[in-house]
Amino acid sequence: MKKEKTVKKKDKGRRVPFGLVLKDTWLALRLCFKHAPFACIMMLLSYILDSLIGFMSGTYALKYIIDSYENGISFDAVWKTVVFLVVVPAATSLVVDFIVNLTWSIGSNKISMAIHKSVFEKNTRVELACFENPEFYDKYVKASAETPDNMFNITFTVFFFFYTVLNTCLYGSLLFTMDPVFIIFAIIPLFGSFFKKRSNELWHKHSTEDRVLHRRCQYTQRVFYSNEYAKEMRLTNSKSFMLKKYEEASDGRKDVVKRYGKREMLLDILGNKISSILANPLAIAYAIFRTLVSKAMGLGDCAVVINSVSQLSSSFIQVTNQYFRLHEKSLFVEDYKEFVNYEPKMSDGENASNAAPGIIKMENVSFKYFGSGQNVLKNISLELKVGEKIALVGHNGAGKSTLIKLLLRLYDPTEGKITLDGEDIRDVKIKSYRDMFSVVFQDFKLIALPVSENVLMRPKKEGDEKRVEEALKLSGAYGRIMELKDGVDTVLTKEFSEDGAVLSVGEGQKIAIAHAFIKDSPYIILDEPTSALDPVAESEMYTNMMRVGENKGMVFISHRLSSAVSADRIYMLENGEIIESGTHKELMELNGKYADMFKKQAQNYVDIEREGGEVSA
Amino acid sequence: MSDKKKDKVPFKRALKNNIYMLKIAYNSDKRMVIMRLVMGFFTGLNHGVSIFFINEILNALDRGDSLGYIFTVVGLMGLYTLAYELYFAWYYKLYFPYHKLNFIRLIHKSFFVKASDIDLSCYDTPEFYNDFIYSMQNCDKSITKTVDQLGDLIRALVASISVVAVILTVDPIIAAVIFGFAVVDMIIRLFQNGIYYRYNIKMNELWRKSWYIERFFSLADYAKEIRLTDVKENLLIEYDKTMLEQRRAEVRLEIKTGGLNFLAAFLGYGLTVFILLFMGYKLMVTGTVLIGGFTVAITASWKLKHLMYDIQSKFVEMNKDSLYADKVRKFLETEPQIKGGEIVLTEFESLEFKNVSFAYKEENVLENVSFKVDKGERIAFVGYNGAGKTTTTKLIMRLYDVTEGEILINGINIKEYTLESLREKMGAVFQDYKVFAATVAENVLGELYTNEKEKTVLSALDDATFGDKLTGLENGIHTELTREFYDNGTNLSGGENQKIAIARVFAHNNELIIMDEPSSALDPIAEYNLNVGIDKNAKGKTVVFITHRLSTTRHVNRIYMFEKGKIIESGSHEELIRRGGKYCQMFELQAQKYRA
Repeated sequence: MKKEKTVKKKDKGRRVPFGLVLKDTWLALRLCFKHAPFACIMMLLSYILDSLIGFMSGTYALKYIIDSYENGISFDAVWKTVVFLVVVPAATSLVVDFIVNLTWSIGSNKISMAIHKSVFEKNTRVELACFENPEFYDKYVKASAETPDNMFNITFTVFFFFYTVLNTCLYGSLLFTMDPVFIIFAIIPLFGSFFKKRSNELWHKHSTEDRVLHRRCQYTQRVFYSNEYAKEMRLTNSKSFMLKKYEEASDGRKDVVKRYGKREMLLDILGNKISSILANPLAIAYAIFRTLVSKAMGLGDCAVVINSVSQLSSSFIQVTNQYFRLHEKSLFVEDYKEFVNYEPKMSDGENASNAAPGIIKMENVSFKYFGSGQNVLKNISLELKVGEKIALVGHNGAGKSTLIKLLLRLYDPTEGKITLDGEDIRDVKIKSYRDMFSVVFQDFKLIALPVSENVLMRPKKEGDEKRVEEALKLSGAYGRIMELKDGVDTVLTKEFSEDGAVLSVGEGQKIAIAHAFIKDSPYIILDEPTSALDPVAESEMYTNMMRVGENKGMVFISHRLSSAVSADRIYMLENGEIIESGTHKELMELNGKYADMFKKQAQNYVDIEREGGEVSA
Repeated sequence: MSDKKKDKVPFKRALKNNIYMLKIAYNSDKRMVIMRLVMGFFTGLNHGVSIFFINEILNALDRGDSLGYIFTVVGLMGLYTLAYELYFAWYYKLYFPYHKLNFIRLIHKSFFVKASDIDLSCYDTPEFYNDFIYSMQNCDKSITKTVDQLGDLIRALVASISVVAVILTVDPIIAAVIFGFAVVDMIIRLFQNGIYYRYNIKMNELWRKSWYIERFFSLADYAKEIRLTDVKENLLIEYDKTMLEQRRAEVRLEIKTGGLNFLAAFLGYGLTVFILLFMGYKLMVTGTVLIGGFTVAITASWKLKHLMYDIQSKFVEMNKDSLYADKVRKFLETEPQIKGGEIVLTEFESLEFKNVSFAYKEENVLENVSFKVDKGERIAFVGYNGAGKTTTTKLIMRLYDVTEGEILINGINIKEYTLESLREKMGAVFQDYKVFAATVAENVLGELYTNEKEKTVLSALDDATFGDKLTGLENGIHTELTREFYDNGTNLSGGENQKIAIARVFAHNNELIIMDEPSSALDPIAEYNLNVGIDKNAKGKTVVFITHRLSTTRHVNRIYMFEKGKIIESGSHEELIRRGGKYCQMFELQAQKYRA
C-alpha cells in the first residue's frame, strides 16, 4: 500500500500547497538562524544594502542629477547630496561585507555541522531495515547527507527574495511617481509565470525520463574504470557489449532532448523573454511618446525610465522565480520532515531493563524482509548459553546471516520471540543488549580511521595500546600491521590522505577478527570471518578464538565444516528452517543432510587418513 | 619539492592546463566548441549593443531629432532584442543540450578506450587509481565546463571591450579612468587568486574528511557496525576536529583576503562616486556631455564593475579546473607498458616460468619462481595469504610483466605473442568476479551475443551447474542481470555469480584455465558439484588452481607451495605429504577436524 502511494506522488510532479511552502521555508530559516544568528542577520543586511546601493548609485543619483540639471540647480548644491546618497550605504556595506565574510564562513560551517550531526543521530537511531528498504533508503537516508546544502539554498533564496522585493519596491515607486502606466509594462511579463509553471512541469518530465538513461550511462562509465571489472575487461571482449549499451542509452538521451527541446524553447521564450522582447521596448516607446508628444515628462525622467524599466520588470520576474525555487526545495523539506519525525520502530520502552548475560532463546521465530512476501526464516527455535559454542551451517541463502541479525536485534522477528533469561529482548535496553556481543560480519568494511580504532571500534582510552597489540597478535594481523609506517596508528584506506594504508581482504578480515578478541563481551558471533584466510592463519585464529572464548557464548557460521565439529550444537538450515540440530556426532549418526555435506567436503581429507597413517605420525 | 614550485605560478599552470583540456574538447567536436565560443562572443557584444541603443535614443532626444528617427531606433532595438533572444533560446534549449550529449559521448568513448588499455598495475597504485577514477567520473563535466568557461570568459571580455568602446565615444577620460580601475582591480584579483588556489588545495583534504564522515552515516555499508559498536563516537570526534580545522582555515583565509576584498570594494564605490560627480560636472557646469552620454557613462560603469567580478570568478574557476586537468593529463599521458608482440598464438603447448621475479614498488612479490606445465596438466598453487599466488597468475595472463626472468609459452617468450591471441587462449575465474549489467548470455560469452552462439551458452551454463537456476529465469539466457539498467533485472547471489564466471570459461573453450579460489563463496554441496563440473569439462585442458581448501588439490599433477614469493615445495600431493614439510602441515591442520 505504502509503496504505491509514494510512487503515485512522484508521478504527479508533487505539488506542495502555498501554506506548506511557507512553513517549510520557515523551518529552513529557523535551522540556519538558530545555529548562527549573527552571521545570518549580517548576510541579510548585506543583501538589503546591495539592493539599496544599486538603486541609489545606479538610478536615483542619476535621476537626481538630471532633474537638478533640468531645473537649473547649481552643481555646488548638488554634489554633496550625491556623495551622501552613495557614500552612506556604500560605507555601511563595506563594513557589513567585511563582517559577513568573517562570520559567514564560520557560521555556515557551524550550521552545516549542527544539521549534519542531527542527521547522523537520526541515521543511527532508525532501525537497520530502513537501510535495506531501497525506497526508504533513497528517499530519506541517502538524501539526508544533502540536508545542510538544501537548507542553505532555501535561506539564500529567501535572502535573495528580500533583495528582489526591495528592488521591486524601489524601482516600482520611482516609476509610479513618474507615471503609473509604467507599472503595467512591468507587470506584463508576469503573465509569463503561467508558461513558467508549464515549463517547470515539462522540465520535470524531461529530467525524469533522462535520469534513467543517465544512470545507465554512468553505470557503463563505472564498468570502464572500476577496479572490480578491470580484469574481465582486459581478458574478454566485454567492451563490445558495454559500449553498445552505452550508445543505446546515449541515443535515448538525445532522443529525449529532441522530443522536449522545441516545446522547452517555446515555453522559455514565453516565460522568460516577454519583458526584454516586448514589454521593455514598449515602455521605452511610451516614455518617448509622453516626453515628445504629450510633453508630460521631462527628459531626465525619460532617461531614468529607459535606464531602469528593465530593472523593474526583471525584479518582478525574479520575485516569482524565487517562489518557484522555494516551492521546489520545499519538496525536499517535506521529505526531511518525514524523516526527522519518523519514529524508529526499535526503541527502548519506559520500563526497559539492562541486559545481563544469560540464556538467549529464539522461540518459534519467523521473519520476512520489508516488502517481501516470503519468510526468510520459518519457525526457528534455538538456544545459546554463556560458555556454549553453536554452529550455523547450510547452503548459501539459507538464512544464516539473517538469523544472526535477529539475534543481535538488528531486526525484530515477524512472529515468535527472542528471550534473554525468559524476558523478551524487546523489553531490554537495546544498547545494553547489543553491547553483550562482539561480532565479525562477512561483509565488514574497514573504516578510514587508525588501525587501533578499527580494532577497538570505540574511542581510544589510556592503556588501550597494549590490548590492541595483543588482539592483533591473536588474530594474526600483528606482523603485517607492524610493517606499516605508523604501526597501529596507521590510518586505513585512502579516504583521508594519500598516506593511508590499503590492506588486502585477508588482512582486513584479521583486523575485523581482532575486534572480537579485544571486546570482552559475553557473546561472540563470527559470520564466515575466515573465507579469505589461508589454512594456517585460519587454524591459528580458531585455536585462539576457542581459548579466549572458552567461557563465552559463541555462534559461528562457516562453510568449512571442520569448524563445526567441536561445537556444542550444530544447527543445519535449509530454506529458512532448521532441518537438523545436534552435536557433530549426533548429526553424523543421523546421516542426513549435514552428514552428506560433511562427507562431501571431507572425502579428500578422509581418504588420506587411510593411506596417510604412516605419514601423519 | 616540485609541487611547491608549481604552486608559485598557479596562473600560468592553470592556463596551460586549461589549454590542454580545450584541445581535447576541440579534437572531439570542433563545431560544438566553436559554436559555444561564438555564443560567448554574441552575449558579450550584447552588453555593448544595448548600451549603444540607449545612448543613441537619449542623445537623439536631447538633440531634438525627429520622432520618426527616434522610433526607428527604438524599433531597431526591439528587433535586435528579438533576434538575440531567439538565438539565445535556440542555443540553450535546442542546440546545446543535443550537441552536448554528442560531445560527451565522443569524449567518453575515447576515455573508455584509453581506460581499458592502461595496465592493470595502474589500478594497484592508489595514487594513480584515485586520479584515474576522478578523471573518468568527471571527464564529461569538466571538459564541457572548460569550454563553457572559455565561452563565458570571451563573453565577459567582449562585453567589457564593447562597453568601454561605447564609453570612449562619450568621454575618453572616463574610459581611461575605468580602464585604469579595471587594471588595478585585475591585479588585486589575481593576487587573491593565488591565495584561493592554495586554500583550495589545503581545504580539499579537510573537505574530504568531512565528506567521508557524512557519507559514513548514510551508507548501508556501516549501518550494522554503527549499531553494534561505539565506533560512531570515533567518527564524531574526527568530525568535530576536522570541522574546527575547516573553520580555522576559513578564518585565516578571510583575514588574508579580507583586506583585499575591502580594497577592491572601496575602489569600486570610489569609481562610482567619481563618475557621478565628474559626469555631473560636465553635464551641469561645462555642458560638454549630453544626457544620453551622462546616463550611459553611469550605466556602463555599473555594468563594468559586474563584468570585472565575472572575469575574476572565471579565473578562480580556471584554477580549480586546473587541479582537475592535472589528473586528466596524468591519466591520458600514461602509456600502457604492456604491449603485444607479433606472433599469433594458435595452440597452447606448454607454459614455463624461468627464474621469474616480480617487484612491486621496490618490494619483491615474487622471487626466482620457476615451474613448467605441459598441455593437459593440472597444477595448484597453495600457500599463505599474500605469498604471491594470484600475482603469478596475473603474470601468466600478462596483466603484469615480470621484473626479472622470463615466461615462455611453447618455448617462446610470452611478450612475443599478440595480446589478443594470448588472452584468447586463457580463461580465468577470479575470487572477486563481478557480473556485468548485461544479459546472462553476454556475461557468459564476454562479447556480443548472436543466435548461433545459443548452444555454447546453454551447455556452458549447464556444466557450471547453473542449469537449475536458469530454468527458473523467465527470459532464460536473455535475462538481464543486476538492476543497474532495468528495475526488473535479476540479482544473483554470490555463489550464482561465481557460476556465471565459471560458465564463461567453459564457453570459451580456453586451453589454459586459471581458477583463483573459485569456490570461496560456495557452500560445500555447490563446491562439490563445481569440482565435478570442472573435472568433466576441463578434460585435456591445462588448469591452474589457486585454493585454500586443500581437498581440491589432491588430484592435480603438481602442487606448488608458495611462501613469501618463493616456491618452497613442489610435487604431487602424495610426494609432499611424504616429505612432511609445510604443505603437509597445512594439510594436516585442515584435515584433522574431518577425521573425527
